[in-house]
Amino acid sequence: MKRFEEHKLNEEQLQEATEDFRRGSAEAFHILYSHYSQKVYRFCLRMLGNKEKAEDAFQETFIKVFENAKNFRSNNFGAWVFTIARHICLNLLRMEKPFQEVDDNSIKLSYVSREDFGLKDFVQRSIMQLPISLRESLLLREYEECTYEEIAQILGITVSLAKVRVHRARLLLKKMLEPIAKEYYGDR
Amino acid sequence: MGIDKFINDYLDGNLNPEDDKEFRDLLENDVSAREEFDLMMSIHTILKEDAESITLPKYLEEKVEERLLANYLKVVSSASPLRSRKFAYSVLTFILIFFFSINNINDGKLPFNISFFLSEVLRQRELLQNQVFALAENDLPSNKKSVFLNSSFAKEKQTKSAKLANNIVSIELSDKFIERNNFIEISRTAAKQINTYPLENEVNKELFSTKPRAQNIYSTYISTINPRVVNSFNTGVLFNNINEITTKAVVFTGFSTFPLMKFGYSEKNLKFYSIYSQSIGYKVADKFRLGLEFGFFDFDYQSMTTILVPALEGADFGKESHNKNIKDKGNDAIILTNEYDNQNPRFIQVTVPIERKYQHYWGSVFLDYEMPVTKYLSVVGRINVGATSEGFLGGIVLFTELQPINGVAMHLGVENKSYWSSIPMDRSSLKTLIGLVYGVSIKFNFDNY
Repeated sequence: MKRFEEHKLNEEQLQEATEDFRRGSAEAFHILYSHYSQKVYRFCLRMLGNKEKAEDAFQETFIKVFENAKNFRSNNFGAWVFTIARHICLNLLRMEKPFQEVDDNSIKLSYVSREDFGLKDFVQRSIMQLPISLRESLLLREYEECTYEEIAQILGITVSLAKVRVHRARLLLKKMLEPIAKEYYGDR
Repeated sequence: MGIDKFINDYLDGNLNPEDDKEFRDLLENDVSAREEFDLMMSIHTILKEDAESITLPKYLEEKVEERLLANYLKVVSSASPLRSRKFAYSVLTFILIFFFSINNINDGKLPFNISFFLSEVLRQRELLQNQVFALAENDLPSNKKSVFLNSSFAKEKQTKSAKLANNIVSIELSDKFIERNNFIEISRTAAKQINTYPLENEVNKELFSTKPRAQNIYSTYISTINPRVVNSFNTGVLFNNINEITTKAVVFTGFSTFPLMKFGYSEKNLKFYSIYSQSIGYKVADKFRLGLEFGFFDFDYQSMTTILVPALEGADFGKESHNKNIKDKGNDAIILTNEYDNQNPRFIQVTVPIERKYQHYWGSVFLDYEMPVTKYLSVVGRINVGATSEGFLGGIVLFTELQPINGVAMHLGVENKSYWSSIPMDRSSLKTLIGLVYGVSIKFNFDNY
């Protein structure tokens, strides 16, 4: 079993590991952990916009996954682990001061050059300005490449609503990232 | 379809051939659409680059693995809650048995006992009348029998014996009688009155001598009736005349099972197994009980499990120190080393046999057939049909029911229980157990006479 390297599992291996995990295999848990740890950390980081909080959320997610292993009944471990991660992130966000969300009409992002902020910071700032419901949909689609069915399952919404949210998030993000995108890639 | 929708579908890979052609035409002919598309693709690329640039810090991974390991070991080594639960069950059962053994149950059944007693008294009175009269008749010389039977004395004797019997009833019906502690004393008073009844003065001694025989009868009466009634009071009125009167009863039973043979498990890996159940049964007919039985079965199952062991601080990281560490624990542990151990010496991956605890709860309906062997001993057959958290359960139990004191019975027997369980996964899902079953019951009757 590989350690400290992200497991790249194909669909069949993933199903097999999920099946073993459901039957109580610690080794299967380790394989799944290796496969999803990077993804979950990334999701937590972009959801919370804070490294320390993301680390806490990441740890809590896998401790919870481990503790609730015997309650796992689904066939989709990924959806289950992202659901747990999402709930933990939402709890952490609720503990913060009320977040200033924006809608399509209230975006007044001033132009910021590459020199002022690195690309990563800029992306992070932009994503954090998205409403939470759009943010989580976008992250699952663009970052984690979840299917719309998986997004719907994780968020507890319909597939069509998941599509609408991703679409809206892309449009919003386009408005916010337009300046730096043009600077980065120029007019193609 | 607008350009945004086209771009969105393009990013999702949802453009059908017709839309794809239309989209390409739009990009070629419309400059602003092309700019929109380029912008969106740039953002898409930025997001992908951002996603790829985020990596899980090594220290965080190690931290989580440490926590998971600690959690795992805590789960494995934690004391089984089952044992403490069994202990609680045992204590509760003991307290119940103790309570019902030393206390009479004043459960509102006193009227029933009086009615039972009255029926007994009436029966005895009738018996007494017949016996006294028959005695008088038998003691007569054969040639005087017809004279006696037709004489006014015989009729008077009949009347007096009836009065005598009625006297007994009136004495026994006094209020004090129902006070249990005074009963024996009152009975003695009654016996004294009966014995001193001036029978001899009214009897023609030439015809027959009734005194000794009459005393005999009365004494028999007292001794016949007293033990039964006194006994029924003193034993808490749980069961009266168990063999004479059909009783309806509720039975609470606790069973524990000692496994003898198991099928469906790996014998090597199964380290501990036990079943405990509690049932409540209602005596629906003379020999049949119907009821519900609830229980749990648990087992410790040992399986080879790969875990990460933190390396010793300051030690020469690698195989040697951990080989020694594992060797010290005995031959059970098997160390697995691989190329990753040296890449990150803070942990070493080992595969060790670890016992995991499984618990299943089940519930069933049962039917008992009770076959009395002696007054105190019965043989009972039980059929269970029920369900576990994973599927179905069926069982056959054959046990003896020894009831040394009224209301409390002890059991010993054998059982065969089969159930469906997918855990552990290395064998058949159908598990079968043959075991020695033992337990205790507490009974309450609900008879009306």
